Amino acid sequence: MKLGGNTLKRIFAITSKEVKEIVRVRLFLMLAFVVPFIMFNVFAYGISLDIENMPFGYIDYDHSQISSQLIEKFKGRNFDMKGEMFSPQQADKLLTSGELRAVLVIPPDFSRELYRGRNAEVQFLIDGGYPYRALTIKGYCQAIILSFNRELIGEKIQKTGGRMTTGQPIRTETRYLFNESLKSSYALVPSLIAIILLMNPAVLTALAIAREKEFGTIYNIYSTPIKKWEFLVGKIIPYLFISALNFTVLVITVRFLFQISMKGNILDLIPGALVYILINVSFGLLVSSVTRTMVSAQIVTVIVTVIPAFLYSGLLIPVTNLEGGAKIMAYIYPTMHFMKIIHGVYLKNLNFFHLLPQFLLLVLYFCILFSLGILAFRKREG
Amino acid sequence: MAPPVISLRNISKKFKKVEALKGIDLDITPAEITGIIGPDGAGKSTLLKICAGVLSFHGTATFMNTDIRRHPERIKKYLSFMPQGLGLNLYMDLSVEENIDFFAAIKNVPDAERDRLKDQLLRATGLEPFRARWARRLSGGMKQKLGICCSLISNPEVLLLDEPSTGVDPLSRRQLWEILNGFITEKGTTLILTTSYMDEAERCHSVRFIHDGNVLFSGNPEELMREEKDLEDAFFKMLLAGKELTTYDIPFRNNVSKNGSIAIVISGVSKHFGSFKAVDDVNLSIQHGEIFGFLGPNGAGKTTLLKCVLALYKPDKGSIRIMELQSGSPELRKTVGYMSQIFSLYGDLTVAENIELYGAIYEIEKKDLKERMQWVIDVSHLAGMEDTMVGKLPLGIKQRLALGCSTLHLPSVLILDEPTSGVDPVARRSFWQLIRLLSDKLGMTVIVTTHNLVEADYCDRIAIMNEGKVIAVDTPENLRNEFIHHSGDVYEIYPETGLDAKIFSERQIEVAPFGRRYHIWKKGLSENEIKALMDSHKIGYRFIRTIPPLMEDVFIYFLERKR
Repeated sequence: MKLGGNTLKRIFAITSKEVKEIVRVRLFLMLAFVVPFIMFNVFAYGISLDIENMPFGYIDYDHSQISSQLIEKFKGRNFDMKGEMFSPQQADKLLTSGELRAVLVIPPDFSRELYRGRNAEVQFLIDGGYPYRALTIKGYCQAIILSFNRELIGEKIQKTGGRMTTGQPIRTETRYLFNESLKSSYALVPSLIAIILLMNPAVLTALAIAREKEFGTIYNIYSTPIKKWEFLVGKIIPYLFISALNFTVLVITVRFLFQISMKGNILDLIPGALVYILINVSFGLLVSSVTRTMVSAQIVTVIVTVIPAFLYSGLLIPVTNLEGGAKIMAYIYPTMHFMKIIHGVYLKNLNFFHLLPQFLLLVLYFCILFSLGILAFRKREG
Repeated sequence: MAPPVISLRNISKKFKKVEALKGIDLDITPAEITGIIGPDGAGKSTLLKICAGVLSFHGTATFMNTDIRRHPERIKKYLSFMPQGLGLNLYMDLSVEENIDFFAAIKNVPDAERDRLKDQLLRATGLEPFRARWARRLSGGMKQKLGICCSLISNPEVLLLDEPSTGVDPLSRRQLWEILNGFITEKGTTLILTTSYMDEAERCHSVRFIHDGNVLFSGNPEELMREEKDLEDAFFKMLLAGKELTTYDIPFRNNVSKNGSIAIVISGVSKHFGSFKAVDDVNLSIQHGEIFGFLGPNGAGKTTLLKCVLALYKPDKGSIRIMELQSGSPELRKTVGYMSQIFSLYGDLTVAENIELYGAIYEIEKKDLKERMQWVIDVSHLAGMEDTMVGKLPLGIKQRLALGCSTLHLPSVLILDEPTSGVDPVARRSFWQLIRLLSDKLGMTVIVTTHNLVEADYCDRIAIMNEGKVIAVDTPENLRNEFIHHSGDVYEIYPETGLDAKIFSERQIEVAPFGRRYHIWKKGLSENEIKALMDSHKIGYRFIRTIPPLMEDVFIYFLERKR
């Protein structure tokens, strides 16, 4: 492959033509910059708002001082305390109708068990209609129990004169690492970067090529000596830059609009992000090779990229909770691997070398997809 | 004879179940204009795409001795291909100059060469003042001229143009042909173009008539014109191949009495969209029972004017009276029939259901509807296909059915907006026959618009429209006579050898090459003068004869006179 002066000239001609079109058409500009920003914010606010002020009730069969102390803990920002339910039936009805999202049930022997120094159990009834929300509520509840346990242990240590006890007074099953405050947005909002950087480059690239097919300008490419890789490379350069710019905007948005700071260094995130953008640009390329109109290109892109990414990337449902085909999908789609990089840098302060396996995997994805994209593009019709 | 530049042997092409080409053999002579002509759907575009190496196919094809199927990329530096559709190869958001530069870059044209040729082309096309204008803001004709500039910037050996003049206004069309003829003569470029306009074929050195995936005729237009007065008639005969064109009768009478002689009066009508004057001070009166045609390029204001007549638009100025009633009066609903430019039938309903629907809309009584439905089905050749979905019918048939539906209520005034657009010549001719029948037998006043100037002769009277204004109204014959009166007779010369058009133009004689022939005219020019001129240049000729002026030239004459 010789990179002669004409090759560069042809690639540049394609790129500069594409840039002029994007800049001059308001719709393209909106699609390129405004739509991803708005989508990010809609998703991010939607998810964070839904998690606050969750209507919450309780049934207290114990009616002790310690049970009231526990209930008091749930009157925070996360829950909207609706008060005591007087029967399981009433709780059930309100949960069904959506007037309550969660109910805490404190059994009759709760305080007695604790005073005896034994483990006590409480029950949470959670509206599981929306698994992601249910998981979050479960997380909140466990976190509150956890902190309540610490207090109890503290009191006990005081009472027993500093002697440590083992075990938690109230049993909890899960501990949430790396997101101690359990604010869901800490984990979620940065993850959304992966979704936007998936959808936007893929859709833009698919549209860019489908547009030429729909309008008929593709024949200029078919009928001239320009090589297909020159055309495709020239074509994707602007979208690479647009997405890189969007990435920057989103990182700034996460920091200043959502007040989530990055534990690691942005420089460890950038290489992964760039390769991830390239992957999705190639995705769009591949889609546009098999579609003829802009509408079909857009629909197909959304179906093959965005929907699986939402479902199988671990964004809404943790990958560990997925089974069978869904789990395989999660590993096949690059989004999960990029999300690991995002989580690593945002939450765990990992550096580039810690995340090298994921990075190399993304590079492999790009090589495969871009080759497929070039192979699938033909300079003639059926 | 020079070896062919493109040679096709036993070429076939199938799209899913449709066989577009059925084993075609075809040779293209270099440095000539070859016209691939035929009705819509004949396979012309398919053939052109195969020659350009942008479509897969079966058979053997060579382009300058290169196997197109095996090495499609090798031929592309020698050719330029322009797909069908006005300016469809252009980037609408790039300027005129940026478009040309883009094409030059992807075709490896050196900058100096590009700039030289660009200046030359922009001057020749009259696009020079619009260098910085976005392609989107150009008129249809200008877009097409720019498309040609972009194709010529690489100075190709072979130029492939798919329907270059469809939808182009007459003035731009004339310029387009001047540029193309100039290029062929000067650089020896081979030009292959497709067209469904038969009159355009006369401008080619050689024609290939394609019908239904086969070549029906291959040769010079002159060979055909010996027997027929023009190519359209010649091809028409070939298509019919001995079959007679069916004639119809109308089994029912119109009960509308012809009380007045004037059916429609349009006085001082203007319609503006923002600062754009779509219709500009139009005054006309149309007689009862007349077939009245509005002719003019796309965007001339024909459709807007019709919509004012139908009271679909309210004119900004002026008034329209139909059958002595104000346009828009509820009483008119049953006296006016309208067939819109956009296909007005329901594709998901059957033929019979569509007719019944129109019958219900116009409140036609059951016993009348039965008779009229039968007639509509007869004239649209749909007997036995009453239960076929309309969406599956060919365009020509659909248009006849739509015409039938819009006449179900036997209107006194029938308004047809571009009814023959995209319809092939045979279907077009029988469509006009039907209109004539409606006018003769039922006394209907028919108003028709068309951008195809050839259709002028089907009308009793025509109004030529341009940029919202009516620039001439009369019978086609009178308009031609007026042209002859001011510009002289039009002569057709068929020289034995090629000649330099300069021998005419330097004497201020208008000249237009038509394949191997030339059309020339100048006020006061006599046949003897031409003969003397030919003799003085020692050019032999097969014939010199007077011909009726083309409606296109008549159009341009009136346009220039108005200015």
